Amino acid sequence: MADIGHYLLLICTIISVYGVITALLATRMRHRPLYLSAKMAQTISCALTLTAAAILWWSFFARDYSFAYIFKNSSNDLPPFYTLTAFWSSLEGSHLLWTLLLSICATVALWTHAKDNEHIMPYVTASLQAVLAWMYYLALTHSDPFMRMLPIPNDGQGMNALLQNPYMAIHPPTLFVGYTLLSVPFAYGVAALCYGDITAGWLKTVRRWALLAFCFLTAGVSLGGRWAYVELGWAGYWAWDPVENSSLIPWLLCVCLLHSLLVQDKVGHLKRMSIALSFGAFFFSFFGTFITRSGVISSVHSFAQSPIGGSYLWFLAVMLLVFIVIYYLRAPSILPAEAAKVWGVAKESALLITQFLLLTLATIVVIGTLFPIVAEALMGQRISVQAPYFNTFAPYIGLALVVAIAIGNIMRYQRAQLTISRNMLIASLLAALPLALVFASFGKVWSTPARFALAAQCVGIYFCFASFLVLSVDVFARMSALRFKLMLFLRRNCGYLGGYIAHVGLLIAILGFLGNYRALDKSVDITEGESISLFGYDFAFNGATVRKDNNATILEGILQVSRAGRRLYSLQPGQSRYPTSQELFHEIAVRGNFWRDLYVVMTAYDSKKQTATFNIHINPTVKLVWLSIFLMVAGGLMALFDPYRGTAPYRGIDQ
Amino acid sequence: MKKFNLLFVALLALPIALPLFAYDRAADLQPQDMFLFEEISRQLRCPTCQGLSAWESETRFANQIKDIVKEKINAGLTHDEILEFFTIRYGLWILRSPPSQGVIGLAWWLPLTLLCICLPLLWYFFWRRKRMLGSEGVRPTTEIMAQMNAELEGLRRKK
Repeated sequence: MADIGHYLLLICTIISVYGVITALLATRMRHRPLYLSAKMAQTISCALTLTAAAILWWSFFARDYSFAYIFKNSSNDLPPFYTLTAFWSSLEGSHLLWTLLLSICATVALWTHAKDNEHIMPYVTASLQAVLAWMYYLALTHSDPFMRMLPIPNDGQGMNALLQNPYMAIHPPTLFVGYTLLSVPFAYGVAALCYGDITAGWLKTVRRWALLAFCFLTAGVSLGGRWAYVELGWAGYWAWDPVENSSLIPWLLCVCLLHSLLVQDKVGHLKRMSIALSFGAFFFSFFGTFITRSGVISSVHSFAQSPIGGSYLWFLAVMLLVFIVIYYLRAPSILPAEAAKVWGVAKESALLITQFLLLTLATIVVIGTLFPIVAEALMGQRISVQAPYFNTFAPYIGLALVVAIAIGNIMRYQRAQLTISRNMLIASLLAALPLALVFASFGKVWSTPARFALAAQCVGIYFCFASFLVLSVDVFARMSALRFKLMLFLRRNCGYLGGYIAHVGLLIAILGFLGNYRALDKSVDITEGESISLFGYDFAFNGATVRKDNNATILEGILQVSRAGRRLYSLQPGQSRYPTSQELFHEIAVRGNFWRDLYVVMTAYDSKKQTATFNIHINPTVKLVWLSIFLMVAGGLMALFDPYRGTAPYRGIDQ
Repeated sequence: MKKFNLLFVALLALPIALPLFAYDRAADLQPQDMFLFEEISRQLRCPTCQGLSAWESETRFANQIKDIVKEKINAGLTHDEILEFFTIRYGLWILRSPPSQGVIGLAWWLPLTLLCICLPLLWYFFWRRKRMLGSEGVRPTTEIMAQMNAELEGLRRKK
């Protein structure tokens, strides 16, 4: 079986190379059947990759340890659900999954293109298959999931216990889908450059794929955060870790691309910016994988030992070089908008500033992530760049974004005018004050001891509410212009409303992030039968029990939480052990209300003294962060199904 | 049989139940030094974790670092002196954010410098250019459009 999988990948590599050559020939000779042949090549290689993946999956369920990959990542006692997800629990499998998703995505893009994009499709085919050819080559040479193993063992080494969590099961595929969806804007960008023009159909297609990518990336990034929160036990969801950063950069560039496309749609400017951003987002999705998978992050010296790293570096360098050459040669042929449409104090400028802010954040994240690597390589100096560095910059950019959201949404295109009256603006700015006060007092903001943290929260909360009210007043003004005919409003403004929801989502997320400033934590020892008071709660320790859950053995401490004499709930934080590993893993207990999470980790248990050590954290407004993710994804999806935009011809400038 | 299972689970659990390193952050420390302790241990990294500070981590190495911090605080060293002690002992790597002096300080200055360069560039390329626009590329005037349409019509007729 393993050999079949390996040969399928080999055939895919050959077919993809064939596809690239025929597609390029088709553009040169203007020969339609050649292009159709390239399209068929893509379809066939997609089917073959699917078969290869199916073989790997089937062998996982058959516990076929003649595959080295299956031996390393599963064991006989692995539950069925995690046997399914063990497919992508390590490098080789996740590379195959990514290749499969990219292949599917490319095939869908080729078969569903709009009619007025037909002239650029050969270029799209060539760029997608060129990337795929390299992915197949890498799967064959440096990360082969079909590597054989002799002699065949009876049991595997088991899946990484940290990955045996529902969030981790769906987080990688979601993120990979987001990454692969970015490949379509990239291919269309290259195609537009090669062809030398951008049509209305181009914009529509790229917008759809970029929006879908935004939804998946948002969900993927946040699922990773959610996993860190419930599994790792340090009571946070974002540590500015290189792995996290590398998933944030494509997200930032994708959001930037969406704003650039908006300006392009309404005013006709920023065409080349959109192309550059569509490339950047795709490039950084690979770049992120390179820095996290090649071992370069832990040290440049471990990078030298990893074979996949060098190959990745070559690919990235070639991709960057090819794009820069094409851009340099062809970008001048993509004409800017009509001369009459100039930049001034108008919505398009606000959108440009928003893009600037997003790019600034992306640049800081790139610098912070790469700096340790560069410093070690050039100066031989090992340094760390962690959360404190990023947290120095991020709040200011966040605040600027909140203000930019408010201003950008209420400005009109092409003129220095607001969509809402000045009185309405002042009223919403004033009304934000009591709302912010109510939020702050319910959220116990005043108890923050540090002065800077208190000031940051006050300013942040006020601006979030002010921005929210300004956006809502704008929706109200637009609805009243249509005399509150809701269906008509929805039909005409699906994209706008999606944008509104996504922006409100971001504001809520920022409100949630601000809660970190007033988080509390303390480590306590409690003996069985005793109780302690902490942060306004009473914790009674009712002993520890041992239970078995699938393949894990879990030692749980039973902690009864009450407040002012009223019993609230029972928490069971614990430690788990898996048969294939000597390490202990935290099983975290999280409960709480809308305003704060009670997050308890049992770090130690002394059976002689019957005393357990708990780390008790109070994490304010974390629920707002999870809520905001739903809103952002929902907003993105809503904008995606904008029926008006799909069928109507270009409307020109929105008055 | 069920009892036997329970016994088996209990046996498995034995190694878990052995006492681990329970870390008490407040031990051996004057209450007024707690803030200083937290501040310093948040600025030092946990050497064996990814992205976590010594304060947040419970690993053995992180706990050792916290013990040394306490020791130094009790010995009367200041915030900067303690950080310097760790830098000499483990290198700059132990600090969670690089110092702002020297070549390493580039990590801080680079984003700020780029910002200072890019803001004028943004202004130059977008707002200032309004006067220059219209001078580049071929613009479809009504004349050209009419000519092109006529040619297109001619092509269609030929077909």
